[in-house]
Amino acid sequence: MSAVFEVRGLVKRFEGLRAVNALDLDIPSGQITSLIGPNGAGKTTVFNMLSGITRPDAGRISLAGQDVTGLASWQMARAGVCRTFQNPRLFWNLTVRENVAIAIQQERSLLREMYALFFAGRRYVEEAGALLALVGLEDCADWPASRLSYGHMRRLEIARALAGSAKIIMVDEPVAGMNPSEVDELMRLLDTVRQRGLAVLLIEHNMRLVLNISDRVIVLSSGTKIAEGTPAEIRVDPLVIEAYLAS
Amino acid sequence: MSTPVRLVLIAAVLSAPWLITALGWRPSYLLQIATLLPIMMIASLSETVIAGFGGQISVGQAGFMAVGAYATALLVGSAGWPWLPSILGGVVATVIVAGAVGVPALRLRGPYFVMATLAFGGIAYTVATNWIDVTGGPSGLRNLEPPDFESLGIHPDHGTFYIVWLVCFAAIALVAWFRETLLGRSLLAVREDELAAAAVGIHVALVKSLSFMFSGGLAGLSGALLPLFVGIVTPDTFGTNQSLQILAQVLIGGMELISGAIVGTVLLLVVNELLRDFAEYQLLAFGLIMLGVILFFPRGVVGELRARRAASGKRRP
Ligand SMILES: Nc1ncnc2c1ncn2[C@@H]1O[C@H](COP(=O)(O)OP(=O)(O)OP(=O)(O)O)[C@@H](O)[C@H]1O
Ligand SMILES: [Mg+2]
Repeated sequence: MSAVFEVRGLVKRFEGLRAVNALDLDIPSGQITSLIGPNGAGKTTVFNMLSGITRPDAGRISLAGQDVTGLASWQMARAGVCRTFQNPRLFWNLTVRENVAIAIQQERSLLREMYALFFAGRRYVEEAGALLALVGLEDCADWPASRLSYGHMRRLEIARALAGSAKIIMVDEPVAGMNPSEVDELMRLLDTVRQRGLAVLLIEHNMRLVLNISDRVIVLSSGTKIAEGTPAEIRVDPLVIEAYLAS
Repeated sequence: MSTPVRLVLIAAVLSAPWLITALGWRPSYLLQIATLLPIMMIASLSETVIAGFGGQISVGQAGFMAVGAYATALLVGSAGWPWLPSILGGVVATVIVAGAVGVPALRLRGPYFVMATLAFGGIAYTVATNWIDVTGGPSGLRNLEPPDFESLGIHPDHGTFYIVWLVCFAAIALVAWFRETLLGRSLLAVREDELAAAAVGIHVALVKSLSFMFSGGLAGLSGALLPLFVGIVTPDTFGTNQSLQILAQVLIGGMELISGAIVGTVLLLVVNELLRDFAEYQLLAFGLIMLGVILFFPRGVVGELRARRAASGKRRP
């Protein structure tokens, strides 16, 4: 299994604090890889660097063999690295459909892009419909995003991340604050995304759920990778047990 | 806006010149006000786009009006072009200037962007006053021949009146269309959450720049209609006062709404005219009105009425 997303020697310092320390990651397509670790381990910081929101202090990121280190956030998204946020950040005044439609834009040349911005809205709105059907939100397509239930907001964020040409989707604590049936639905959705051949990188604190759904698990503690393996291996890893007991 | 309201408005505009003549009370003055109104509405709409949709307040819109006005006047006066292509030329010139100003200025946010637009307005005013060879300096560009309405059997003042209103309706439709484009929607998203917008692949800088150029083009269109209306262009029309007036118009009506720009422009124009004879109190009254709006209509008159109606609608079973 070759990795679609390769990260080598990723470093981020915040005023002396090493939030992420020489991290290597290999994220394969068609699999769910989970990134776990105690609070403050650096998980969200990794997402911020991989999505171009925070600039790494060192390291190399490559996507499908292409070096994408240092790209701006919108360029990362267009290259195929898409994400959700730990707290949903939707466009609350836009409709559900519009939230997805505006995330589809990814013309390659400036002229084409300008043309699309002025004249191709309808095409994008149609494409948005298919993604909404995938995540089961087609019935509330014309609601303002702010009217969605919490579980549906999470799903809309995932639909928005899938828009365009996502190759890897990074999901930051998607089930926090959800009730058990919402959790089940979301897990099924992530499984669908995996079956479509995308790489999924999941941050999650709920261990039962992580061990259940993941193909591989990476454990981060104080910015350093302390373990990596299948759920069965991680469950019995003494370093992991120690890190979780210590926190 | 509902269809009956639209029809009433169109009928009112169509019959206004006759009504004004029939009324017999200072007809040329009233017609002047009724012709200035749509020009100022277009200027307000330019602020609606950048401040209301884009969340970036500009206090330099009069600078773009100046570019449109001078470019048009030069094309008509010096180059001898007909009015229609000259006005289009004025708009194109303004869009280009707005691009040149916007690309660096839009890196700035909040108060810093406001300062940049203020500076642009000041520079435009200064250039208009001092580049005498081109702009005619303080006395401006004069003796612009109006279009030949008389050979069509139309009174020139009426002809101008209808043209500016026609352009104004087109501008309203254009802004309504802009709001629904991918660009308009992306702009709303950028205003709401720039970081999230970039994270889903929106080219934030491009969206902002194009929107700023669109807004500048509208202000330029408003400015380009002025020489058609008054036959001259002078710098004192385009001072910071004018930019503040435009901002006040959309604040009073409601920044985020097209109808807010329309209503706000009407309200402020009426107030200005009522107070014209009390020049020493004009600024005081203006201040009191702004204070009142901020206290009682923080979303503007139209914005507030809409919000209240929506709230009362929800309460009903
Ligand atoms: N912008 C920042 N400036 C300074 N320190 C930061 C910044 N962002 C994160 N940190 C610090 O970096 C460390 C890692 O934070 P991060 O948010 O990545 O942790 P996390 O693993 O996502 O935690 P959680 O499980 O609580 O979400 C923490 O100590 C945090 O305080
Ligand atoms: Mg986190």
